Amino acid sequence: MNADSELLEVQRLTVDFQIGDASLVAVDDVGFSVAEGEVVGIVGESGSGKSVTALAVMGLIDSPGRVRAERLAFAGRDLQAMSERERRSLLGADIAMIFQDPMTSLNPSFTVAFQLMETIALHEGGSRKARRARALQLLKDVEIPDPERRLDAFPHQLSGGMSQRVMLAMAIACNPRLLIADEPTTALDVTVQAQMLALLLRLQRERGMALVLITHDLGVVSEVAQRVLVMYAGQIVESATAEELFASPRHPYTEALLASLPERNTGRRRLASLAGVVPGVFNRPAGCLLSPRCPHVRERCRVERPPLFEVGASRARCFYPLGAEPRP
Amino acid sequence: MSTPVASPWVLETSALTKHYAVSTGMFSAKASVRALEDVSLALAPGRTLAVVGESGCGKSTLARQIAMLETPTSGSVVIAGVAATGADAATRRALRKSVQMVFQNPFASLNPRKKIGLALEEPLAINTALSRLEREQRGRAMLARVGLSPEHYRRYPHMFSGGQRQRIAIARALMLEPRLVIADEPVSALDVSIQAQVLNLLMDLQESTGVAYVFISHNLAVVELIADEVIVMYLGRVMERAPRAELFAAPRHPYTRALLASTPRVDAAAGAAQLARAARSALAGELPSPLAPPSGCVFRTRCPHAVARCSEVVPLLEPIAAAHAAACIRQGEIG
Repeated sequence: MNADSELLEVQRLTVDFQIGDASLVAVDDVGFSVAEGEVVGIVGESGSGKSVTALAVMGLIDSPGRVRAERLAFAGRDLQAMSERERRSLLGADIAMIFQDPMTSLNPSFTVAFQLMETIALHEGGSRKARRARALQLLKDVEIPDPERRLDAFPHQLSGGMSQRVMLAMAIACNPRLLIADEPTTALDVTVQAQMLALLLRLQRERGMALVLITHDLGVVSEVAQRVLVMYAGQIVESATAEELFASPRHPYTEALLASLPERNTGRRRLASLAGVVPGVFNRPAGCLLSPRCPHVRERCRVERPPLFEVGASRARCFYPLGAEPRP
Repeated sequence: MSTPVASPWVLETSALTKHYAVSTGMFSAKASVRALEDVSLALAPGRTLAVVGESGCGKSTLARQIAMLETPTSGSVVIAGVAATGADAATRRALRKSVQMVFQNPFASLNPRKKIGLALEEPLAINTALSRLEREQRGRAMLARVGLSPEHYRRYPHMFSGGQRQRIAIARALMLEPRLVIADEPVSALDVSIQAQVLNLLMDLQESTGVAYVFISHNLAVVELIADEVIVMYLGRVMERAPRAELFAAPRHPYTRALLASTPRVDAAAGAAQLARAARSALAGELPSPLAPPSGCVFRTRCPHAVARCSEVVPLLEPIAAAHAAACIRQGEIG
């Protein structure tokens, strides 16, 4: 891994929450990196730890959550060694994040202009007039129709798609080098989702911004991401280019996810589906976390926890990766 | 109670319309939201009709009219040959047994203070003269049919996962052996692997009981799997109606095409898909306010093929082939 070209480096990241005597492991030994200008998708079902991973990178995990990592660095700077103040100044400026529900991220009591100008004031300053002009330009950048009028609108006067565009305008206000988008289109209708994804990709390309897209929707990932991380029960189980992942999944979980998609079952009337549910806090298996549900499970999988193995051009957390030799 | 007319349809609606009066301010006159305009459809027993559309298209309003939860502004609903609209209370009560609903959020539709067994037995206690023992037998049998274990019978809703709760909601809807189940976004709150399990269950139950589904969804991939026929709605109106295979292979209405083009799909050529997305012109704009829908064709403000004529006439659903119809005056020209 070449540290010079990597914008974000995460090594052996673990996040757990102490609740009474129990420890809930939300993120378990996660490592990945994001290069400058790259689009990385993180997919997984509810509770797979994809959002917590992003929040940990942002430094937004509060007590009783505990974040530990061997390395957590942005543009070569160690995020864990920084003071709280330094890290905060990085947030919003160099790393920005948008969330699923724009309605809860915008303050209902203030206008769009006020909220955008507040962000600009915090990071750039400038006169009131200059900030308002910047805010207007940002609304134009995110293709909001009739931007002059929207400046003085309150969040409740905006549709869901428009609120998400305002959130995006706020996120790109300081030209971040990395944008983390957590389910940015999940609450939107498909035609509006298509607009939003096209907009995200355009901004990413024009600004050379790296984009981490967190989603449960494999369709979205396949159309947007260059590289994909698949998470299950807090771990990355597969990491591959989007092309590799959808053409030849290496991990049984990825295979099962793809097989359960209706569009992969055209002509058939029943969907393939994994039996059982994701392991909870108290029944995390000793071996591979998928072993109780895995159709290809063997004895070794139940006792030994697999690391991420190189499999062709991909990496998979499995002793018996699909379409490859078993790992020693 | 009126006598049923022998009907090949389990559900028929004709020119079903629902307007809601809404307040637009303390001193202004009430405005009217045209939530549903002139919807006619028919569904045969044991078949699945999918209703597709985005928020505000009227699909849930349609469900409420069919389920007799509301009285339509005009038009009629006929269930298994019996007119539900304007029927007397006894008829409606009898009809309600044959129409049941499954909602999107199973946690909100199950009473948190009632054990699952009781929730399953309740419809029988209200609608039948079965003894307690018989009710429990039927409840336990139904629990097994939806793939849950007998020990779940005495548990509370919070002890189940989302997928299990949706199984329970389906089980309860089927307790009275309805002829029609209206499923309003039944899998949209579920993860894909759980969604697959619930869809399989719905299809299995249809095969074994012959129940008909009105399946409301915004997810076209799910619809393509489960539906026999599909209607596509936009701003309260039906834009296109077709058998499933035809709708997906040869969509005729510009809105149907836009919906299909906007839906992200996992294709083997993922890299190419990304390029396709960039090249594809996404549908511009957002849904107009249902308080002031556009004149003429309601879709014209976002339609890439709109011409001046579209603002003048309201397009009728015109047949293209057997069972396939689209409401677009330019459908012949746009190919």
